[in-house]
Amino acid sequence: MSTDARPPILKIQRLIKRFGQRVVLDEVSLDVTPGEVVVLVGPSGTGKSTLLRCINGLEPIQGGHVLFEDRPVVAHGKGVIEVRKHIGMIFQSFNLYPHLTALGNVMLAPMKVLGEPRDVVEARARELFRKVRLEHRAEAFPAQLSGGEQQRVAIARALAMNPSLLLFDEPTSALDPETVGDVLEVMEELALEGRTMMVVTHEIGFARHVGDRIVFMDEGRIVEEGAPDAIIEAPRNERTRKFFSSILRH
Amino acid sequence: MYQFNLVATTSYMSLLPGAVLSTIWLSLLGIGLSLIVGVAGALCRTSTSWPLRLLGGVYVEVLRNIPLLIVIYLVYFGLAQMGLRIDGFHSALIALTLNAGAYMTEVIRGGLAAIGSGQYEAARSQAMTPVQVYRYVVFPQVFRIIYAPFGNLCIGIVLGSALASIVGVEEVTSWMHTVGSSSFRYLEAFLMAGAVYLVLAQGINLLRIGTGRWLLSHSPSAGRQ
Amino acid sequence: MLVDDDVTHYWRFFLSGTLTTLWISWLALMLGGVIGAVVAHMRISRAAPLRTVAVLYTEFFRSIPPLMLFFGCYYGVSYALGWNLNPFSSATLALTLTASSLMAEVVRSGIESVGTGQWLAATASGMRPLQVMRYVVWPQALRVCLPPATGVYISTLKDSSVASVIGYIELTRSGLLVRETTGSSFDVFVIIAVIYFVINYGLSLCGGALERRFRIVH
Repeated sequence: MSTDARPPILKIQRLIKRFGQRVVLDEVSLDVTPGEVVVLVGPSGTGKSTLLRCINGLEPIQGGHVLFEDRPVVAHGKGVIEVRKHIGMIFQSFNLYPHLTALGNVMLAPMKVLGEPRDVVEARARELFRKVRLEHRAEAFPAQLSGGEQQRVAIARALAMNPSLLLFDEPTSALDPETVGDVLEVMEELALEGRTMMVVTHEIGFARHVGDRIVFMDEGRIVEEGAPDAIIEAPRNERTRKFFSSILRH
Repeated sequence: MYQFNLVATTSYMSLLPGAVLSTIWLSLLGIGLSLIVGVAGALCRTSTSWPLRLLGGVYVEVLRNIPLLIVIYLVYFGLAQMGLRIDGFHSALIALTLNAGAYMTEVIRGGLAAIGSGQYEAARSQAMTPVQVYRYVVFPQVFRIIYAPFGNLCIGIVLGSALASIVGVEEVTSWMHTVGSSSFRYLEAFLMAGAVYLVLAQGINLLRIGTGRWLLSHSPSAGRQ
Repeated sequence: MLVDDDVTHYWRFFLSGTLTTLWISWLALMLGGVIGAVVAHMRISRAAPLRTVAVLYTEFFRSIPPLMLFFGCYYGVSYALGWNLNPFSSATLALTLTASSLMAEVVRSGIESVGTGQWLAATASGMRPLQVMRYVVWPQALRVCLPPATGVYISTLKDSSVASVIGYIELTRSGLLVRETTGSSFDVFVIIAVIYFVINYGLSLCGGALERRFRIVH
């Protein structure tokens, strides 16, 4: 959970993203150091998820740069495949492959993309299932798993590639309240292990408890960022204050 | 009073297996080739380049609205007039492929559309190349989705193969007509030919139902997001 | 490449062929619709034998090629029963039988689309089964049947081209006759293809419009 003085693993410099004429991200700049847990919060539709998708090249950008481990990330460019081998993504709607078992889901990419041998991949997969506390559900199909279980499988699937950066796109927004806690627990353990994580979420409690830095975004721009307690209790910006007070009122 | 007499046809029975094989062979080739055309067509129709999309759309609409017989005549007689002579079997095969390919395109396109964009995103985020995305994530799912309309299309191809008899191919329908006319036992010949097609069509039907059951037990799709 | 000779001299052939095609397909659709409706009601009846017959009927005509049916109705009937049906009667019979099996499915879906709640409400108010059908089910089912019935008409129009093989002079046969006279295959068949395409594509657009219209109402 601690950050250190190593060079940033991710550098976003004045990123501009447009959908047609609409500017969704307006000169966003952000650095993430290894081991840091950065939590992106803000009103819905302000580009937070889009920002994550620009980081691993799922979305092309119209201006600025994204540098991962000092390599530029260009959507559809050569090299983006190589970058994606080191970035894991967890989606709001899980996106597990329905035609494969949970184990199959976790094993597919390491075998076919990284070319690792089956027994090595399977051993690691089962270890990851232990980690997310789903050892007994490894042979189940996604359709037979609950939402929280599916998301934990999705986390195991991302971890199977040994990524140096994990991107979480509203991981608990589609879950029943009872299962949200299971997933957040797993995420907290990952943070404690020292993993570098960027999390888009509405779970302010998690942000406060686990995050090293909270970034508040609105209308495609970073409004304010800082240490969780500082930014929640004593925000400098009026909009930040309004956002947190309306959230925390619930 | 018409006397039903199957025995009178026995002298022609020796020709039947060959005819059935012709029908089956033509149908299998038609299914295989139209599958290739269908994949190409579906990729065209879902492509980002508008000329490809237009080409795919025009192909589907034209071939779906013209009778198969006209396509056969165009290939067999029409091309011959321009100097390209193609024999009956291959003309029928080309026509059948073009015709069925249009329907196949729509079936596959429907299947691709039913796969959520999240699947592509998840696969790409795991560093899969486009080819790997299609091979390991998309096409396995497409098959599960479209096996039923695909099965019906296969039946349509088997029945469509009958038109090949018009351009001289010796398959089941031409057997029936030859035997019926020569032996004057048309009803018997009709029933036997009908039985062959029934077995083929219902056989495919059973395969389709069986596939459905197998898929259900191997990857339950209830609650798929 | 397109020889104007074909179009200007023989357009009457194409026109009469087109009208014949439209007419015979329409006839088959109407007759087939009546038979199909009967079969559909048998399919949903409570009597198992009736249901079985209905299923066998539809599955039979969906499992044999239209060409076989044309041959059977023309040659088969004359060899076996001694009746000499002319090409028009044979073609109509064959097309009607094919259309009837398709219409049976269309009508069945139409009837089933009327929710059981309607049945309950009508029966509860004292109506007898036949009255329920006449005043509640059929009017609603009819609307639902119109778009897919357009599809059956298109399918019948395409099948009618096979009638050319037994000598009935519809559009395809007209084309073949022109071809024999002028000796040019490609142009003739292209013209025929265009005519079929325009008619069928136009009808499919109408069917789509009908479908959209009824979706709004429901």
